[in-house]
Amino acid sequence: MSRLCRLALLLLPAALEAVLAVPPGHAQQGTESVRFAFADTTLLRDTLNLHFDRLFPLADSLMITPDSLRAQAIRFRLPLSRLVFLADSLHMPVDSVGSVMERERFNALALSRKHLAKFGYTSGYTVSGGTSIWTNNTDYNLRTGPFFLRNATSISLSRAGGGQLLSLNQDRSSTTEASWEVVRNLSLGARVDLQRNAAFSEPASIYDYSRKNDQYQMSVRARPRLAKSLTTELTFYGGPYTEPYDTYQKKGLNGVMNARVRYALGAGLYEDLSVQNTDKLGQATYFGHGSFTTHDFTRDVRSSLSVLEAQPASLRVDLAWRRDQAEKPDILVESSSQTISDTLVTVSDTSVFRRRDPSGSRSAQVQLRLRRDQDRYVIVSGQLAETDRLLSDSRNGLFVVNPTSTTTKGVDANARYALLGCLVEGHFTYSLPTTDMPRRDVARGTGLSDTTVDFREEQQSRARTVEFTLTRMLFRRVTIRATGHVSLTTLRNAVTDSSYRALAGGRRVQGTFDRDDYEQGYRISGTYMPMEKFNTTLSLDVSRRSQLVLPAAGSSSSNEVRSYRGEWSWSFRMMKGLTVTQLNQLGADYTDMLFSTDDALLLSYLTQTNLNAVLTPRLSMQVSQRSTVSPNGDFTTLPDGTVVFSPASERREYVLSASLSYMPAPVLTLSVLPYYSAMNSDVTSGSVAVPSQRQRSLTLGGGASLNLPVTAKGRLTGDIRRNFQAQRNLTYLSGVLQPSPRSERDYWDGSMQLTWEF
Amino acid sequence: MRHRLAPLVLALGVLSLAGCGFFKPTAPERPQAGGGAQLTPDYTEPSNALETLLKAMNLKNQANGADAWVGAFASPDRDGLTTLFGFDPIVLAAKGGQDPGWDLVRERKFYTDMSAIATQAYFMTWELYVEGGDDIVDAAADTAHLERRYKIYLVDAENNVVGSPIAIGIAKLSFKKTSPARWAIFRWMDFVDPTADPKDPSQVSFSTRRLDSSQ
Repeated sequence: MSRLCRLALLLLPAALEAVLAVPPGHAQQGTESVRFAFADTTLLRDTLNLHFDRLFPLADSLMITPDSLRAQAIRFRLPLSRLVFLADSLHMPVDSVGSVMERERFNALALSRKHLAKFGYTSGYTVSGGTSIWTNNTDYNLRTGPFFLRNATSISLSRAGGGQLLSLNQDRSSTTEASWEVVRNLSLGARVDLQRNAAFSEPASIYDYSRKNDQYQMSVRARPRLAKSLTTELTFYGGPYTEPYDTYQKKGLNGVMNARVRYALGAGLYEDLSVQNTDKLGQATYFGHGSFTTHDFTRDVRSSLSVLEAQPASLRVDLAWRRDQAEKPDILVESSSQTISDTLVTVSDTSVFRRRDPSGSRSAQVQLRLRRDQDRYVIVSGQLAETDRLLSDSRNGLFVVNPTSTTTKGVDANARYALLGCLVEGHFTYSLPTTDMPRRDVARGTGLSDTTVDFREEQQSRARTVEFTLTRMLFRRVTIRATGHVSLTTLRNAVTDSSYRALAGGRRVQGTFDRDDYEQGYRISGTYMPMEKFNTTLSLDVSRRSQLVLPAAGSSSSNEVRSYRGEWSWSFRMMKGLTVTQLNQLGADYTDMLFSTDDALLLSYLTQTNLNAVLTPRLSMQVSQRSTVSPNGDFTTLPDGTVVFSPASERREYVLSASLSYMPAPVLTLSVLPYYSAMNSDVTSGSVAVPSQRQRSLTLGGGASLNLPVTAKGRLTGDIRRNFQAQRNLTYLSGVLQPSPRSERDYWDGSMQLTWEF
Repeated sequence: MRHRLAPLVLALGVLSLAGCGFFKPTAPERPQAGGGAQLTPDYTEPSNALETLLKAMNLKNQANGADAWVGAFASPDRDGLTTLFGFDPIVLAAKGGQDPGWDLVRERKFYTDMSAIATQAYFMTWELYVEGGDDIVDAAADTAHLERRYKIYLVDAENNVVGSPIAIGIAKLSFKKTSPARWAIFRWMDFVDPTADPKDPSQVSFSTRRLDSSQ
């Protein structure tokens, strides 16, 4: 072990001890942190009457990305504060709140006994190019005393294509569920699920189908209150099932039992245990080839234990175990040559067999969190996971079972520490997945024909990443951020059996090449905000990426790319309602082929300007312009050994787009969207640049958006737009223009929904 | 004071960890001369160039498969031409509408990514695209235009095709004879094959595969 390694082992515990010495916890301070100085403020725009004022600190606190949190709020139309409150009170990740709330709506035990009758109807029509979709949905809920009835019916008709090719899809489904709360916290119910799916095309296709699938199930739900700190939910539902497929059908009885136990001991300990057990006993029939019994099952157990979750030092342990198995009929076709009436013919013998594909997984994760406040914490976690899967496969006229297993071990650490006005963030991961899998490849060699063989290969990957970020407010109006990262992923492969060599005449297969992917880089950014309406940012980004194929047979493709990016952006609110932003970027990518002289250089210059104007309260306009110039070339070695750069080609692109919106009334918005792009590409022939390609494209879209109340109970929403697109691509051969026609396209794009509730 | 020194100590610890070779990649071996089962590229005729592309794809990034694939396309230094790669407009619109400006560096990466989609052996085919008309070869201008349907299948041990194709599409290919023994592809306009099953996520065209590769 080197001296540096010994030093690292000594220093790491010392550093952890120093950082983890956490003082007694206290409420999080409300001061704004410098870490949001570079945040994307466009995410804060109000949408659908939802506000996102504290998006960044909340997302940071919940350890999810701001755009994910924003998307959750929009999807379920929940304000951020409500979403976070529900996540806290339900003890679940914030991205599960919406789906759990939706599911609970259909739980008879979760509803109050207040009389409720609600009917909703939504009809929507969407058209895009040659595709149109018409949907009709109804949703009926009735609650009276202990009875609950719900019906949801959906019809979707889609049509795609036109002219000689046409594709039609028709999906219809109706789900009716009735339940009766026989005693407090115990309900009995029944559920009928009818589905019809069909697809047709003109001319007829082998993919056309028409399927019918009806399910009838009974359900029992119970929520026994065994103790004040214990919440228990038991659910059972089951009944006959039918699974129609193109070539076979399965029928039988199925049953699903779910149990969930949540135990809270004050605010210090919280355990959530869920068990799901699914069984399907039935008979599978392969059309025209007989039938046999099948047993499909799923066993799933998950446990999540939180200790001192709200305290400065907390622990979380997640365990999961799962096994499942699915059986289905499959056919094996065995061909043999026979002589019939002096003629050699091939005879195929088809037999049906039971195909069983079991799989399983086990995982454990321990997370230790030491948190003083949102600017000072360390989170260390370790994971251990195993998955295994058996897949049946046809091989030499026999079905064989191929096991595949993956073992993953890993550790990661996140830390943040505010010190002397600096915010230091560190992230370290180290994961070690190993996969043992079946592989198929061709054994090649001189004197013998290529032979495809099956063998097993073990693939060991080791991925490590370390990343540091330092953010500091230098002066009152200047904030800098420096980020550095290093990562290395190694992949080592070994062919672990040799039985295939008997079939390959003793030859060995190549196996997957060992390889290393390495990356290091840093980025330094500084932002200056002299006044509220102006800010500017300067950045430098430098990175080096190596893709190394290690064995001599494949190492010729090893390469290293060094990238340099310089960036300057600014934003200026010139007057009330008029904001200009601009981005200027210079870039260079040097590609070094390690074992050949095919080195290359790609340069890029980018300028993008956006103008955002609110001309009147009803009229707004956005104009965007982008131009990119990317010359590239190769490095050539002259006879005297001098390496010179030879320009090879240059590409210039220009885009101009605008969006003009006028709102004559609160229910109607009219918009015009022109988009123009031009691309010129030249190649260097000799030392002269000659044209090689020209592209011009113009798209003009115009339409309307509606948000119109229809009486007191209905609403018509959506947008419709007509687009006209013209495009021409010109290609030059040795500088001579090749004739090419202009293509034009005129199409509608839009979606309308009519919603009605009683 | 102990807390204030903590980040410094932690940073020193990780930096020293980086210094002990934890992040040091292994040096690759020098390429063997003619190593592996080398493919002999043949671009002497447009049909031979297509055959070479087919063999290169089936080689799955082994030996000189990548060089043989990329070598079929015109490059400024070798042919005085830049290859134009066109994408199906609907695929391009679905992927954001921005033409990434395809070049041979991206095409090499696409080939590498395509080779890694599945561990089984590949079987690529070119079929005549009848709707595209006959092949056009202009001997005077040394140009040719071919339209083909391409498919890539996975195959089992007995070279039987397994399942549906993992790539399917229509390629409208323009060739230029840039030297007496070389026909180079200088334009690949790619389109979705209308016979592909839209419900099968693997039955996608090279337009999709290329744009996915550029992500």
